[in-house]
Amino acid sequence: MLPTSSTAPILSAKRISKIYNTGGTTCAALRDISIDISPGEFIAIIGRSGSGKSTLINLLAGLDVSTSGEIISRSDSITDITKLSEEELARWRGKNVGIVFQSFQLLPSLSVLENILMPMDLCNIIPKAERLTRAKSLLDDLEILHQSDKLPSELSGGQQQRAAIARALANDPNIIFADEPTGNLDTTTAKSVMDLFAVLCLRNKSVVMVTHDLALTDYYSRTFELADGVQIVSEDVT
Amino acid sequence: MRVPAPLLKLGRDFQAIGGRLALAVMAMVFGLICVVALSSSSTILTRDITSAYTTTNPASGILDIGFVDDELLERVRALPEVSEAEAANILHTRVRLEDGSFGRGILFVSSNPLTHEIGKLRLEEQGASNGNAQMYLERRALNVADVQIGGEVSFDLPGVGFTQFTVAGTVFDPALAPAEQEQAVYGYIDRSTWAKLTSAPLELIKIRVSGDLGDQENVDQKMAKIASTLGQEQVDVHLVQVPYAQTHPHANQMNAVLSLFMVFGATAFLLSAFLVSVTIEGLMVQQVRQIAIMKTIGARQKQIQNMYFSGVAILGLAAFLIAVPIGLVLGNGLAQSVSSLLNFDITTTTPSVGLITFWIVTSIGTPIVFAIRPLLRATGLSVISALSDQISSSVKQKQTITILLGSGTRRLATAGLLRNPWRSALAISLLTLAGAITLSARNVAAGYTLSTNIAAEERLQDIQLILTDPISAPQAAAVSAALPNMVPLDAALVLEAATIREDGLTLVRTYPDGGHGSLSLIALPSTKNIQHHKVLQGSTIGGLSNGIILNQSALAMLGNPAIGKVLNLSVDGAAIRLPLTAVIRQYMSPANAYISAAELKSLQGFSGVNSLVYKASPEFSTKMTVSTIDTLTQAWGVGVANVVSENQMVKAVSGHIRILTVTLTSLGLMMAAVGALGLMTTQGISVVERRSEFGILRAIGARRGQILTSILSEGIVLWSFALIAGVLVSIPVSQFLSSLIGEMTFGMALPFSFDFATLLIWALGSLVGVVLASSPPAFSAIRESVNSSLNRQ
Ligand SMILES: Nc1ncnc2c1ncn2[C@@H]1O[C@H](COP(=O)(O)OP(=O)(O)OP(=O)(O)O)[C@@H](O)[C@H]1O
Ligand SMILES: [Mg+2]
Repeated sequence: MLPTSSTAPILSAKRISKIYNTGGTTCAALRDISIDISPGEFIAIIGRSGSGKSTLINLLAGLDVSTSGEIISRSDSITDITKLSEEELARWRGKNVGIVFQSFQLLPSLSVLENILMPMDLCNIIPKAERLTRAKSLLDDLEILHQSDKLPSELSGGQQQRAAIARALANDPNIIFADEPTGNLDTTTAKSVMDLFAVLCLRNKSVVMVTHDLALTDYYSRTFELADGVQIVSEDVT
Repeated sequence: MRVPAPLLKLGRDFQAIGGRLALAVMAMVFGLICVVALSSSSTILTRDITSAYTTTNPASGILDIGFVDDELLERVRALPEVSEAEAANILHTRVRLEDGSFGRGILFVSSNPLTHEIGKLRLEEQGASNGNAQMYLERRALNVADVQIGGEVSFDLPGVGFTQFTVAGTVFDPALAPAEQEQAVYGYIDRSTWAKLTSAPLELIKIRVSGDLGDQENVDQKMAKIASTLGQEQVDVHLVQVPYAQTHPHANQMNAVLSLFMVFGATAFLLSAFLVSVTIEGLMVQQVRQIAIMKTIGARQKQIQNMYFSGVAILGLAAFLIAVPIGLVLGNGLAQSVSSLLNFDITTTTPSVGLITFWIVTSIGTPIVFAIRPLLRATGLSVISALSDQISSSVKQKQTITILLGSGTRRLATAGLLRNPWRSALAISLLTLAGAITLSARNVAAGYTLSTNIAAEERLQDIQLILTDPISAPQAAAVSAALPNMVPLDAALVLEAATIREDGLTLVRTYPDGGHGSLSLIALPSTKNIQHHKVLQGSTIGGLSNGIILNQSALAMLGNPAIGKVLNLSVDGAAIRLPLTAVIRQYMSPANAYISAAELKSLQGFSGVNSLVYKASPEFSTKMTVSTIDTLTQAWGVGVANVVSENQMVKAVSGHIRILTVTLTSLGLMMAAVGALGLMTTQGISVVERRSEFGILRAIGARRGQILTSILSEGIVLWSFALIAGVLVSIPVSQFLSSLIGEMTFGMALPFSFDFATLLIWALGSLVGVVLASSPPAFSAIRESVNSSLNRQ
């Protein structure tokens, strides 16, 4: 449904593996996975439970460190994020990626608006004077501006997920990673979240999302399937 | 201006645990108050005690020669070791006050007490002059003499008798103990006044040596050299007094006690700062997930650390701002009372920039240092492991231990205590320290009371009268016969003695007032007056015939010689060499050496008695006794120089002790407050951490009472550990303090006494404290509905 962008990938993983070592037994969660993410793409990562979807998305988002392989980021300079220090990685994350979790993970003590302001204040990418306006316009875009002074616990699941998405977009990142963002939502709410992501892709952002919900396949520009840590097939859906 | 989101979050996090944080900060305030009060008073006191003393240009030493004229003085001045020299007299005599009663007097004669080079005094108040002989009194001696400036006071001068002086003004002599403590009138006159009144010679030469006056070695060597040079020139130097160089007589003892207090104060503060760290750790445990979220949205580890570190710094700053004014007031109060106890003035109470910096650094730095470990641990977790709720293996181990330990509420309580052993240890240490300090303070006070009781019991006499000169045995019998209300005990001859050094020189560390570091040689006809004292070493069976018996303070003064060792004493220039046969215990007594009167007579020809001791009947009066003796002995040219009554002894030392026990007890109370706050905090954290656990337990059937019992029994377990540990710690601490304070005041350790009443009060008081501290979190834990406890993260 959505056009695949033809520009160069903004993030490429090359033969990444993740091996867990627990109490003597090793478990290969991911083996030799390669994936390119181009601007405007909406990629769905699918597979059975335990197949390594979360592991992959965490590696790509720089939340976890791969055992081998490289992940090249081409935002303003070309960097292998697997070689970055913890501090540099945090900086990179703040600037380049937005992350949305299944369980929202809003900071409970801050209001919705303050939650959106947090990444901007932490990363100092958006000029100070613009932050409040930007936060409000993001909330407006996501139709929860009237909830901005409430605490996360006072919102419904769908509203919380919108707030989480607004927060992920705060620093205007190029890629959004989302691990089962609709897992806790009803079908209608899930659909509206998917629409949001689709709009982002239209604005040339890339969305990488883990999902079990194959009913929503229409939204994806392609799927990436995993089974036991290995890629099954990568095909264009259109 | 918008508050940045990270700061907002910090504020809200702190707010969420506000109650506990407030308790921890309050504990820190108490700890800081101790530190500020003690360090400020200690710097004020050390600065002023030294400056007050050194501005008088104290002599490096005093030569006791017996006869000093201008020619001799010039010869001494010409010696290369001498920078300044001056003739002087220090006369221990008696005074007659305006109301006709007698008292103890010390008369200092020098070229001019106000202007001379050595031992210059500060004029406090000057009255109008009249034709009478003029005398200045030490400012605090006015009260003892019960006289005003311009009033009259009579000193008994040798060969002249009572001579009237007009009090021309007051001076401040910081080297002397307060007059009311010594019950002595300190008077100062100049040489010309002395010469006009009496033909008696000046006996002493005060000397300031050349070279470094603060270097004890230099001072000792030069004084010894001067004495030996004079000795070769046929000038008989009886005694060389060399006090500690440029050091106030009480400076060392004061510093010892202040540093001990400092150790207690610092410990209180460190523990309270540790409490802050424990509170932060409790917060961090709850924050692990949120920190991970912050990281996923771009926060760097440093940013998060800085955020919490600045939070801790703000807490430290708050504690600083509250504690410093209070600490300063208390510190000044302490400094004032100590300085008035030791008779010197406080010039400024403004703390130095260095000290203020030290307080800021400690109050902010210490909690930060203590928060490093929990903060680094919580912020150092990787995002993934923080987001996935992993149970660490150590928790599993603890669970196994608790399962082994028992069942039901007991198991729950043990689980609570072992959940964070560091925290339990902290709560126990705080309570232990509080108990130990409180108990020690009261033990020392009890030891003091015990020593006064023992001393009163062992002192056979009610009154001791020291005569200006010895009288013969028949004369003494006549005196006793004239006192029908008094039972005479063995009269004695009391002489000032000093040790003779190996180089033949008699050098003592006595201060000019003769009070500090003096040794009395007491010649007795028999051991009747001393045989009831406990024998600490050797044996008194042979009586006094075989040698010298020392009391414990004399033993310490002579450098703890072994039994049988020959003691080398000098009395009025005459040498006495006799072996040490026994050491007896005499509380509240200065250094005494006992010798047989017959022996002393045969060795050096000293005879007669100058110390009359009596047991008095209830209707006796000191004043009447003294006047009876005075009338009778006048014919022999003798009078009563000094009266020592029990009351006076107690007065002289109780001041020393009171300030110590009051300070120690206040420290104990402060610690108790820190301990109670600590317990409330740690119990609070421990309960909050387990709320969902309590929810689960209640969901599966535990009754509220069971949970309440388990939390309270946790507190009681802490309490009983702390009580036992507190008693154990208090024993060596009390012993140390008793010996320190005893040495300081009477040259021997106070008897050890355990104050069981205080133990009982402490045990009950702290138990109540523990129950009160554990109750609020316990009740709030069970009041919550099962559902809401389960929903806590
Ligand atoms: N911290 C860890 N230590 C050891 N093994 C792990 C760890 N995290 C994940 N694994 C293993 O790696 C494999 C992949 O896990 P992952 O969480 O990526 O699966 P998933 O595809 O996201 O599953 P789900 O759909 O259930 O979320 C699993 O076999 C899991 O057991
Ligand atoms: Mg998953």
